Amino acid sequence: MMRDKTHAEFIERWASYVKSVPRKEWKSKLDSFTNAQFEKSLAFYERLKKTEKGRVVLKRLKEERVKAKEY
Amino acid sequence: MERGIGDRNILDKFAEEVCKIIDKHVKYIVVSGFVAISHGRFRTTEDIDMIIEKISFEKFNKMHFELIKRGFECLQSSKSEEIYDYLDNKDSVRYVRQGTFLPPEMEIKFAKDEIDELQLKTRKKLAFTGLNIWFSSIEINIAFKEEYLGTDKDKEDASHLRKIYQDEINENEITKMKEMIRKLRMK
Repeated sequence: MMRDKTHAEFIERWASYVKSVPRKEWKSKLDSFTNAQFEKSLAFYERLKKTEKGRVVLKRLKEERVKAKEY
Repeated sequence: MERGIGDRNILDKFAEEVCKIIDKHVKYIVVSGFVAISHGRFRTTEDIDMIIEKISFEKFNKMHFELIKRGFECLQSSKSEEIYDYLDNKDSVRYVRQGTFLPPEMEIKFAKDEIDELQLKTRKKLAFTGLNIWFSSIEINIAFKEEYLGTDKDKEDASHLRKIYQDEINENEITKMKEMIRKLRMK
């Protein structure tokens, strides 16, 4: 069961679109979305670096990410 | 099939750079979320999952130092002996661009059973993605996402891949893989 009907419809509609248009068309949309997410996240971390409290949070986040994951 | 080299986003560039280095040292595959995303699934990810053949420490050491030389670092440790121990103990290790602990990251693990070995043996370069990367087959990805991973996100990834490859998918292969997953991973 997916999240809800309209969400499932979006997945279906978007996949149909990807299949039906030239690669450069869907790729440019996806690239803008992907780059924006990373850029926004990076800007947030840069802001954190500017305050003492932010630096503490950054340190905590880094420690969390370094933990190994068992698979 | 239309291919493009001028249309790389942050995630694509990172993936291709790391894969190019890894490819020189060991057989690898990229699996799971990045497979769906490379086929146009409208979402992103922080980590790209990679499975590599189990290799000796000496081979791993060479690969690790090339990754360092080319501007990447391992989050778990800077010592290759320690990183190798993680892998050998069935833990994944994560490489990011040097000087940051931030995504994107390549999450690397050793092949651990015959399913992973089969995935490596049947790996493919998928023209639809336009990327010079070895992927595990679409059927195996769908089987894992539907049978084993099973979150909403995974089911949606599988649904997207099914739509993209609806005329080409080998359903018998998916069924066979699901049986193998149940037998080896869900006992």
